[in-house]
Amino acid sequence: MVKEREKHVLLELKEVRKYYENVHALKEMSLSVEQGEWVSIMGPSGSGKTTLLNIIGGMDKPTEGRVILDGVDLSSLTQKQLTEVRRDKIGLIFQQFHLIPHLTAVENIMVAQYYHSLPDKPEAMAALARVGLADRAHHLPSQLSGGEQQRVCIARALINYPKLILADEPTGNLDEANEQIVVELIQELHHEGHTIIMVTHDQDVGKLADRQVHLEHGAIRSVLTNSYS
Amino acid sequence: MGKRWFMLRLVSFALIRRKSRVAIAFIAIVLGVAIVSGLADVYYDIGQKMTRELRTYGANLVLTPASPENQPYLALHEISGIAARVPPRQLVGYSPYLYGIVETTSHQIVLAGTDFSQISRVSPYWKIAGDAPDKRGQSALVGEALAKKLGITAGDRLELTAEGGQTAAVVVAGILSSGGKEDNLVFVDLDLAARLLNRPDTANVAYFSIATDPAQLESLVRSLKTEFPTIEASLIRQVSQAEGRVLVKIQSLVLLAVAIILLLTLLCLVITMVNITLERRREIGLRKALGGQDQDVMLEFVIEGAALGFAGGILGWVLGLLVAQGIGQSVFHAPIAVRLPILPLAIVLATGLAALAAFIPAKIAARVQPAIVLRGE
Ligand SMILES: Nc1ncnc2c1ncn2[C@@H]1O[C@H](COP(=O)(O)OP(=O)(O)O)[C@@H](O)[C@H]1O
Ligand SMILES: [Mg+2]
Repeated sequence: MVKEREKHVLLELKEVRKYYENVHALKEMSLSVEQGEWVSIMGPSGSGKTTLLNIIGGMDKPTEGRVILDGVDLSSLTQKQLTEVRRDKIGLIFQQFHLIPHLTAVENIMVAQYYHSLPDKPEAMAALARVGLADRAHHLPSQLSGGEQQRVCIARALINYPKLILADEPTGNLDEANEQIVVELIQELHHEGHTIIMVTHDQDVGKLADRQVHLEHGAIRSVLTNSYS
Repeated sequence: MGKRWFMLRLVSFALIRRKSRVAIAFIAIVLGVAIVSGLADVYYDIGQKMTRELRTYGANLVLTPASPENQPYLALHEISGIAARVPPRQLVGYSPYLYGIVETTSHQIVLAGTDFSQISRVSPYWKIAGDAPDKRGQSALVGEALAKKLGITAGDRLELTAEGGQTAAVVVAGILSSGGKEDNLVFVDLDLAARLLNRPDTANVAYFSIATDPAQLESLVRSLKTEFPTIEASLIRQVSQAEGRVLVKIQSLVLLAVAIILLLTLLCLVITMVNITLERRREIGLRKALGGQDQDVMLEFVIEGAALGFAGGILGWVLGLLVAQGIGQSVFHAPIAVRLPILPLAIVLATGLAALAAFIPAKIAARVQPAIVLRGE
């Protein structure tokens, strides 16, 4: 079997530029990502990785160029429509986890369900069980370790079956043991067919992806494709 | 689980689990409502309380015979008829007086018969050393100056003889000082005086203390003139007019205080709410990154404010009752009536103001860009 699935482009960036006043954060970037692909974005700090992720996730708009996600041109959408895109198609994993501090693990996941459709506690509990935190469901974030918080964040990112998972340095704030757990989770997601774009500083983590895109000064310096995937 | 239900739970968690953060806003609401609703209680009661209070200066209406040369006496049934014309709530008290000359073993003195039970209401400023007189005991009050002249003290017996030869023995219950003509009289029960003086069911004069505004008193006097032509009703004017003016001044002062406190509360609320919302910028950005629309996020903040106001309104009202009672006791020495309609008003006002105060930070919340969550600002 050469082709396991139909090749389908989920995301396409066409000559995207982003200026912040006089800072040229992204310079004419073009990139396409297939469904089921795992892409890691690497590069020194300030090279535009987060800017790129924000634009792909509809949290920021490019100054120029087009971003086509699942057949929809994000650059033509209103703020309200962009919010709907984030809600329906994007799962977000953050370096700082960003759990709401006064809500328990399961409630944090239900918030994502609440904005998406309907809060569903059993399903939220199942998502927690899946990341190995069934017994931590009723703990507040302050009662969880960094690794546990990140796993809650991953469970939340997956809860609404997103088309695209965006992760910004998901292991950046974790110790080695927890990094291992989180990396394994992401690998699992990849094997299940999720499309993942992950920013990382860590060479070893980046190498696990299908493709490594290296940025420098807001432009793509090199792209490395792993032959084995 | 329903969306609305979950949203209410989110709101309650945000309030309950962030107690220390919302405490200042909550305290502002509770204190604001307490003072305002307490003052409202006082405001409504103050008219009655003030007129009652001023009644301690004594009678404000006096009845005398219209033509004393023809008919020097008032009939008791006419006096009680007039008393019945005054609404019972306004009638503090009234007392008829019957005067006459009697003799003790050594002196001629002026005797006054009155209703002892009305003294505290119509002449509250009388000072009595000794016991208050009581009717069955055939007791008397002797004016201070007279007591000195006769060498009488409380507990002494007095033999009284009238012109017609009727006699009575009374016990001096107490010595009276009023600073006026009463200091030279002997007071006994009206019935006893009537028997001694042989003037049953009559009086020379009747004093009324009526708790109402001057305008109403004047209209009462006018209608009495036509209904009881043989009686002259006149107002003891100075006190009544001062009452009205003081009352209006105090009430507008209370209104001003209410307005200022409301304004300060609202200001404090808005500032606190803006601050506690700015603290939550990251959380707001996250909610929007997760797909929360501006109006969803705004609505949640406004409902949080409204819920805070609702709870604060109830608690503030309860505290307001205490404030009102405190003012009532310290200023009027009497409890303030509880006005239940103020409760829903307090709740609606507090809920509305807190929702309004939350609306401004909610607007700020809506402007937060979701991109900040990845930036880790
Ligand atoms: N909101 C902003 N306003 C101004 N400059 C910004 C803003 N966000 C990012 N930048 C600039 O854009 C460049 C790229 O930033 P970023 O995408 O955060 O880089 P990375 O994530 O690779 O470290 C940097 O020079 C940064 O200072
Ligand atoms: Mg970054």
